[in-house]
Amino acid sequence: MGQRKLPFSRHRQGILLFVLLVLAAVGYVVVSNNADWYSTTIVKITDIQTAHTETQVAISGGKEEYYVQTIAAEVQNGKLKGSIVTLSNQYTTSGVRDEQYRVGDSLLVELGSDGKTGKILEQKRDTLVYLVAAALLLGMIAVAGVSGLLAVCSLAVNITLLTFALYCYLDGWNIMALTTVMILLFTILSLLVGNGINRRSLLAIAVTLLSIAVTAAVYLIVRAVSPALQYQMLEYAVVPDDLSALFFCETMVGGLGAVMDVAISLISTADELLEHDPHMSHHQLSVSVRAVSEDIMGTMVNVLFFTYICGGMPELLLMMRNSLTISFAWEYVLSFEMVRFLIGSIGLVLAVPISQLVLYIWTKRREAAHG
Amino acid sequence: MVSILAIILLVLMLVIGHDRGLQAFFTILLNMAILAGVVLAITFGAAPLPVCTVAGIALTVLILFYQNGNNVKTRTAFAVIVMVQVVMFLIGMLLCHAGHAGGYSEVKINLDEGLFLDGNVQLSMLDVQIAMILLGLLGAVKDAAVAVTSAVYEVHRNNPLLPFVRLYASGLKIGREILATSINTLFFSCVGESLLLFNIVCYWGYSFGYILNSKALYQVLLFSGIAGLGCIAAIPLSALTMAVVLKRKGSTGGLHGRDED
Repeated sequence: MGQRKLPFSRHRQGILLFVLLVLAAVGYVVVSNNADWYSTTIVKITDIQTAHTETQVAISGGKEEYYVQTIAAEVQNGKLKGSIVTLSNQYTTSGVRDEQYRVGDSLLVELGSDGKTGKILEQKRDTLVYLVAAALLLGMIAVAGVSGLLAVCSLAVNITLLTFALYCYLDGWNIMALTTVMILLFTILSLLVGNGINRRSLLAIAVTLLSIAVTAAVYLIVRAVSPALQYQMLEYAVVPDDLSALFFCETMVGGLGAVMDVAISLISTADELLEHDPHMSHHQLSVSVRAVSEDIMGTMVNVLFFTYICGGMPELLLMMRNSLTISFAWEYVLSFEMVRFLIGSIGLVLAVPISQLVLYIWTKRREAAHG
Repeated sequence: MVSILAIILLVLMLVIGHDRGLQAFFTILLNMAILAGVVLAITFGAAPLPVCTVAGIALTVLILFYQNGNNVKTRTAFAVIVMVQVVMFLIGMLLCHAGHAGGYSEVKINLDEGLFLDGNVQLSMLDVQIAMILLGLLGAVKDAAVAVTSAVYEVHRNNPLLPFVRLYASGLKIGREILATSINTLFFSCVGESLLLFNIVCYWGYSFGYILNSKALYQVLLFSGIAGLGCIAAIPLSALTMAVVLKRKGSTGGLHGRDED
């Protein structure tokens, strides 16, 4: 807080950022030359010959052009390192199930027995994944300093938890039980890591868990009284499991972040007010909480809307261009995204009265304790 | 199920948020109308990128000026959002092109998903992907821009003599709080949406290297990652722009801070 301290901490932050930037750059060089880490053969495209093969009539009546690329590529790892292989790749102008590769792209391939030809498995995208992740981490630390660092830590903890949960799931855990445990851990750890072990975090954890529980109840009741969604059309839904349960878990975890945010914002505001005036009445507190909630509710609902609905758009457009009806697309794509968005929004709106309730109980108990 | 949930949400927003809740609900309906327009336009053959540019501006105007009113804060926020969107458009386009992020991912193709759909759609799926990434980050960027510009404005109104540097610093301080929570929201909505993907990955035993390089993961990462980057960029930019605007107006003197409500 002190003004004299500011230049020092800023100086230190600058050094830290510089060190991280250098580390990131070194990491980039390492990741872009990591072909030896792979057991799969990696090739780098050196030359491409493209031939137009056919023109098909598109659904809308226009033309769809088909091309075949004959790719010459240099092997980057393994016994054949340095040798040239020939690959073949078909692509279309729309690129729904194919891509147009360019010179310089690296590919993962399965070599044929002769070692001269091969089958393309996928593009090598690890450098790009690294780039996005590093930019996010550096950006967070550069803009938000210590709290950015904490946010990065909480992300890391959550990703570890998620990986662990997936192993448990494969081990045969019940999906509902596992999700319940995960939601508990996600909430507790994110809030504690992000905000420290204090009163605010504890109250926010209580609010988040209560809100999620009520939202889950709403979801289950509505699901019980309405016709089932077409779960088999869910994206990536090819597992022999109860898809309705899986979708329920997906939806709950998806809304968790938004609920947590509303909870911590409201509780922090109330706590700040209480610090200034410990004898504030519950009614006054409630009014302030409501004022803050009105400000954040609309924007948070918007954030959820755009992230969910736009995520389903490419598939939706593909269906529409296939001359499928709106009602079909609604049933098979949009209804899932809408349920996710609505449940998340209901959760974050519910967090408002639940925060007021938790604050009420807490202030009452504190008053009772103080006599 | 969707309609019942929508009614529940409407009732909750009305009871808890009153007028502002109703307004937020209407904003969502208008957003949906604009997105429906986008879908129809692209279905009837319009190019995805121009359509989404127009829709993006319309959506920004709508969610900003309808929800927050027309004043110096929202006008500044608008400028910031447009700047961030342009930068993110360039970054997004580069990353999408470099990683071939359009169309179905290998995981989906291997699962024979969407096999009944014809691929001859005469529509560049890469452009669709870029356009949707751009629209998808709108909510998060607007959230950050509005929060920071309002905060800087409030600080300035309470203490008009505060120097530029202090105004900027106070904007950053609020931005920090917003950033951690926004990233959290984006992370969980991203995980929630791709839980089934992760599930499939484990179930079919894809190797770590395969997944790391897969288009499936890359699409998920780009969608949330670019929204996160947009949020990060919006915070210092909003603080800076708002401080510049207020100080420039301030130097001309007079009671300038009363052009809201």
